[in-house]
Amino acid sequence: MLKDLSSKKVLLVLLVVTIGVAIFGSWQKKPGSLRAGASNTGQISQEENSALPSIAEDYLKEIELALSKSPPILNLLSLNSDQKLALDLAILDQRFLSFAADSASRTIYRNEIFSVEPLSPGELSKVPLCKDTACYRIELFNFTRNLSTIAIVNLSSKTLLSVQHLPDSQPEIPEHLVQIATAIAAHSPAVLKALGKAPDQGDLIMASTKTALNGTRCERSLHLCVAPTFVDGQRALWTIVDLTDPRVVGTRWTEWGDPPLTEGQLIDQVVSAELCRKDNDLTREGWSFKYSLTGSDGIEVRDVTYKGKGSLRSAKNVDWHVSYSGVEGFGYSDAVGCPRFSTAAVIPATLPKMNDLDVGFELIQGFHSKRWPLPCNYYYEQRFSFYDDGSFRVAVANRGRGCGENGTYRPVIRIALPIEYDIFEEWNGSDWVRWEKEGWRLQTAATLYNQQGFQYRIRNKSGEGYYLEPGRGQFGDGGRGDNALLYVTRYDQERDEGESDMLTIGPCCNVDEKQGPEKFIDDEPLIESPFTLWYVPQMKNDGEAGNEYCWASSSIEQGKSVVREFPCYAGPRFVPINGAR
Amino acid sequence: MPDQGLCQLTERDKAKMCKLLLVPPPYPSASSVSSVVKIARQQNSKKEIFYHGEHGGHGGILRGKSLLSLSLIITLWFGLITPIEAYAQEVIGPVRYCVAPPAFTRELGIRVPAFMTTHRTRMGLLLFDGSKLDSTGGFTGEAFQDPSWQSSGWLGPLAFDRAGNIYTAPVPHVNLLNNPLEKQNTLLKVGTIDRKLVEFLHLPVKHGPSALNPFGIVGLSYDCDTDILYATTLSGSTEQELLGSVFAISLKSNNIIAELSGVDALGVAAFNSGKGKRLYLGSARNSAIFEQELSSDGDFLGRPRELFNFDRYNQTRARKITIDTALNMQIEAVEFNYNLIASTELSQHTYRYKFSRSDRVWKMD
Repeated sequence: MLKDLSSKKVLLVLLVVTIGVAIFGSWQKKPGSLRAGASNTGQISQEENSALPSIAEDYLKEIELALSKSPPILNLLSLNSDQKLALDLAILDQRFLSFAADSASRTIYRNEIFSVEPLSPGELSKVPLCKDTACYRIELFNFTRNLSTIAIVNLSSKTLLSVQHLPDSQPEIPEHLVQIATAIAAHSPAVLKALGKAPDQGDLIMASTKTALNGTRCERSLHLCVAPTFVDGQRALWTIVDLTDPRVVGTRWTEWGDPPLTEGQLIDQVVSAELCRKDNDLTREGWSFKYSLTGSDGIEVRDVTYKGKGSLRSAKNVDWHVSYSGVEGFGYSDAVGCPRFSTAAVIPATLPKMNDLDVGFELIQGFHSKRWPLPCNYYYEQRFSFYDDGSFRVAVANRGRGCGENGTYRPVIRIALPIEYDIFEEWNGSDWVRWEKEGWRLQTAATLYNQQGFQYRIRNKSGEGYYLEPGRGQFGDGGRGDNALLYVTRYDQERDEGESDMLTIGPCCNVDEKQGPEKFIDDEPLIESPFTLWYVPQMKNDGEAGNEYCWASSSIEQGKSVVREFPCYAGPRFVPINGAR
Repeated sequence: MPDQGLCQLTERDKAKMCKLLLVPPPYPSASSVSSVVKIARQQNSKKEIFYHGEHGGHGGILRGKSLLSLSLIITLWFGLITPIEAYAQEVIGPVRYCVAPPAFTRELGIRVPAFMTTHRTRMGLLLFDGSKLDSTGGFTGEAFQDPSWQSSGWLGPLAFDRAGNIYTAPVPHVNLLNNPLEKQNTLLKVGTIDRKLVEFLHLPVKHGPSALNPFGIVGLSYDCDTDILYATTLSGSTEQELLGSVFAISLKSNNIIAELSGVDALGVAAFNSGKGKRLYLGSARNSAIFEQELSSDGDFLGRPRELFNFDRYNQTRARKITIDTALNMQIEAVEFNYNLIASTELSQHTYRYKFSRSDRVWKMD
């Protein structure tokens, strides 16, 4: 197929230009159009580990080889003698190579020559030293740093006339990358699924990118992305291909006149359409529930039953309070939620994932800042675990990195058990003692647990219900203990105390129980009254090497950015009273 | 989502490098006023510096986190200006020629008064010495903050009038803790003499902010010719409906004299186009600048029409529009999706257009 592609390159380019102009021109006439109907919202690829076509595999090998060279640059093939001379002149000049590697840290970046071409007439007029002589423009792209380097060399004088380094800038991609991108797209299960068949030559209309024709951006990953497009009748399947980390980012059906689609737009559109304020039903292994993405309380899991019996009415993550001890009052009160029309400050990076366990399964949703793991960017996670014995856990995690090593995270988790469980009890070292009115309690080193590690018991008069097992580092997820504040507030269906989406519930930086839920505590009795639990773990981060916690760091390895995550998980497990082991 | 042609805008920032832009004096000069303009007297010159930082939002030292108001506006005044007394329809040029520095800055002894609403850790309005800006967009030395300047939470747009009064509005930054929804359509004023921040005017919006759209006033622009302050609000707009408005507020009478409804605009700037007054509006829904015709007394005429689109990816929104006397329009654009995404995640892009005197149209510069 790739051979075919090459042989029809001219035709392809013509098609690209013609249709691209049509699309771009049309879009310019109606820039406000953002059709996102349910049938046309696209999909985010889950193909991180899918096989690549051979042309892409070969390309990766070439990259690996180039990274072992000095300088670490993948060159263009098929250059004529003048082009080779021009390229040699550039590569021999240290100014051109300033960003090709970091000699101080011995960090190697992934670099590739994208173009070696004579200066255009327009450029010639701007470079006096090229007026009557052969000058070439060389474009080098640094994938690792998303940086372009542009050099102009004079072949006659054999000199490098100028060098420009352009951060966050991407040159037009060369033809071989067009072909690789096209092959990755055509090979993608997401594309096959969307088209309902393997695309053929005639389906492909716009393999080029970084042009006015059909550009795209991976503005969140800051990767080099292109958008091959496949035609199917009156529609076209826009496919965003990541060339920095070769894979398909996602696809979306577009119609003539639709504006270009970028990575961030695609993700936001898909998340909004599939998840935002929209119930998704899940039934498996005896469990059944609904989940949706709220405006600012993260994922809410609702109406959870296990083998037909109600287990959980609602659980969600109302706020993340982050405080830094170095500066008084400095921190953030973040909400996680819908990417558009919401009060969320941190939004989903993708759709939720389902994780199979030996003894159950988990629903996981990540939210992260665009520049994570750079400092002062955040990655929050919600993790709902459902186990085969009828127990479940409502956990959250921070994956760094925050603004410093003196941060404390206090996520506010709201948990509403079925209203029939109206008795709340605490272990006092020898027995379960009932709480008679609203209150709060801090988990400390002196906290008492029963033999099985349970601190609280929530039940009905028949003795059915759940034990609450706070995190003490026993869950095997790296959590070091929750140090949690637990609030119990009376539930009244006539009052909205967090049943609906909550605006910011509390400030960033209180170090005591004033995290927000306390505002619902006014000594109301809990006798024969349903209640709501608020669980606020307190996790102190640590950036010290070897002891990292709530932390993330990144480094460059073999030209790629490698992130190391040190999540801090927290959250209680609920164990059925009758089924507790 | 249905096509939503109309206006809108936004703001936010992000971080990285900062740009310090010296903008020529915004009053009409001989060259910028084509004909029939009477300038009574122009005693002194004035300069404005707009600092457009990419504030490190959730982040970096000395960087502001913000949404709609991330711009740090620094105004340097070198003396006073006598206002232009009359304009004709043929005038071409910006309309902020008369604005004066707050009188209280003199008594405070601040040599180069500079104001910002986007400090990372200090909520509200800040006054500092603009000569002490550092390369990161922060400043050295002490900042002045009247106690009242924090009383309305995080703030956004800034505008100055001819007397040196400051106008601003609450804009939530990251969360709503200090910015209750019901206050987001309250125009605030800092008196040029007493320097107290007070509630000046409540915009009579039909639909208030909500958890689905927490924004109210997001843009301000003052027109010296008419003594009118234009305020854009996104209040009540939803994904399906454009319910924002632009209000024209007479600073002579302190009354609202007109409302342009059904418009979601972020950045706003008034201009004398040579064919009459125009108000440019940065759409909050797409990467378009809309043009609204104004009467000579500042009222809205007809409906806004799309002028041009500045971002071919339709990714950013014009949160701030400034026009200088050389007839350059600078558009500061950021991503905006009607939520509170931290400014660290927001890339600010600058687009420049130039007004062609001969064609009387804006062309990409």
